[in-house]
Amino acid sequence: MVALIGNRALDDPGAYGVEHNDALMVRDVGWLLVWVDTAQEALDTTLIAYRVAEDPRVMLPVGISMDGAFLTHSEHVFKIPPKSKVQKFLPPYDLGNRKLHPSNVISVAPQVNEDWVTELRKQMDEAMKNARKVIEEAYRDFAKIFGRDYGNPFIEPYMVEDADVVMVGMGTVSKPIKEAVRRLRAKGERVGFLRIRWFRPFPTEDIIRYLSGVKVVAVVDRDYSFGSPFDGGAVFTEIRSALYEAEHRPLMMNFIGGLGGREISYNDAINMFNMALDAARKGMVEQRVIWYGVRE
Amino acid sequence: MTISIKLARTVKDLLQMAQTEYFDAGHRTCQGCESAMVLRWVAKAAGPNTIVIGATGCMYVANTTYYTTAWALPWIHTQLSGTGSAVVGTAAALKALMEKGKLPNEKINVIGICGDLGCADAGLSEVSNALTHTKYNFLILMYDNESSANTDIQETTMTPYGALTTFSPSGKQVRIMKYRWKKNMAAMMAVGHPEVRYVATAIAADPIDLYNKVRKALEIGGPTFIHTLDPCPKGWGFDPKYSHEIGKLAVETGIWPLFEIEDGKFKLTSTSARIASGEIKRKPVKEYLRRQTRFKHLTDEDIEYIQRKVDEMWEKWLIPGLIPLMKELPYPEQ
Repeated sequence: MVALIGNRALDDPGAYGVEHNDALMVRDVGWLLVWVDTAQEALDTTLIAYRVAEDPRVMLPVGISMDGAFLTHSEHVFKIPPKSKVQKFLPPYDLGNRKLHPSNVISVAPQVNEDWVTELRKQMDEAMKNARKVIEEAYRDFAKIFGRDYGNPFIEPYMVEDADVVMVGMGTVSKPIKEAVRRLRAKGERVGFLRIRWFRPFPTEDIIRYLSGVKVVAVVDRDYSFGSPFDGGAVFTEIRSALYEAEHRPLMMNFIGGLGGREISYNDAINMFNMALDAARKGMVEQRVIWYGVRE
Repeated sequence: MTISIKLARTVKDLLQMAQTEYFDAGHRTCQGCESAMVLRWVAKAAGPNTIVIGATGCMYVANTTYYTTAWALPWIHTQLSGTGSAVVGTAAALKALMEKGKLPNEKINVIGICGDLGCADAGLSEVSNALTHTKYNFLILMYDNESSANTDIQETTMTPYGALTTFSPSGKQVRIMKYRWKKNMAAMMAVGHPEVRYVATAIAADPIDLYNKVRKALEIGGPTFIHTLDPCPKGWGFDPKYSHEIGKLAVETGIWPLFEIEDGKFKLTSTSARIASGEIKRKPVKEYLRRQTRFKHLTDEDIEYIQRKVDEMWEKWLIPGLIPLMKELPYPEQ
């Protein structure tokens, strides 16, 4: 099963704009979750998601998040692949012995209670772990067949080599942050950006590889996890957890921003970078979680 | 009649026609469970070329314990209110796969089974929506034991007037907690969805009537709906050995009229038809109510009120059992 989610702030109060909490709500119930930042990537990831979700080693639902309004309601130029290539990439879905048909008398999703839930959850755990490998395979085949290579499927590093400060985010926030990175680099600041594509399964190894060596990691969360360990966003909390056993633990900051579709401009991103660079110079973080632009 | 299939006329017919069990051993319903009896007859009537979709409810929890499922038919669970979407999806998928040549073209019955909470309350909008999908063939069966029976008997809108449930106890301040009259579900489905070709009420205590109705519903095509009233020993408060008797009394007292609407034609069936024709007299509702502990707190006035409402249904409604609108008395017009 594949769901394409136009991320939107959940009611109440009502809002049309993007917020990632809607998709994050299912993060602990066995969904694979991926964030995209262009229409082309949304289309490509949809094909990849079917391939992953229908793989017998996985068979878990995939939720593809695209930022509501910014991505769902804007025009992009993108390439539609020919049917022949899609058919080559996506084999016909075969339910095998799980087909619900009179020729195959089975009961699907019965009542299991305490007798079997533990074992069934463990099977889902195995499937989620398998997904890491299956996702890599799918992206590799995708690049071969369609000629578009996304590199590391799980994350998109942008000018992170030699960076002192790396900002992390999911979805279309990548656009203003990349612009800010370019402008600050032009001034000689060592900054970079890491976009997380796959949030489940979480790219722990990549996070350690790219972030454990930097001075400050600044996570932009277009979501919030109320009452979480450091009263921060979900991505911040996860990255903090992933870096716990890293050889070098960077300083960490969290910007809560862009909620309900409020725009994060490149100027906003530059402001955030400046705060993070300041922390890098001081070697300490004064305020761990900052609600960026909140009116109080 | 627009459909011609062999129907059962006698118990002997029934025994000959429906020998194989498709709802078999392995379930753990209570003693005297009439909902289980309904499923047994529905499965027999439907036969092996059937897919069953079961919404959450006591007939999910009790029948499909992992490794001991009672269904000898392909069965899948759907959420409490998911019956409508699940049956439409299944029927549409079968149709599409057959049209594309990916499945052999054959008649496969799709039956969605939901309880009164799953169908008449939580799932009502989906069931109603499903009944407008006239391109697809399926039957939605509502087994109505007048409560949420697997979570310890909570009130639903199908709980009858005055009945005790864990949500509607009788107290010193409020003697009748369930003051709301039961919804007329089958009628609502029939009147509200004029393109549905078959809607019926039934009861397990009248298996010939039930069996034939299921057969007709599955034969006629398009979306169809059957509502059964299922006495529940635990929820209603009577000895399990009286389940059938209580069911019969529900019909004989006129509280539960058996009817069918086939291609827009309304017909009372079985005992209810005999009541309407004057062949037998309706028994007083007291005989039904006093047999169940859920009505033990009712006073004689309460019972008179219920009797009056039932009399009204039979004597004043535009169509008894179906349309609770009244013509000017006397009715029928002289």
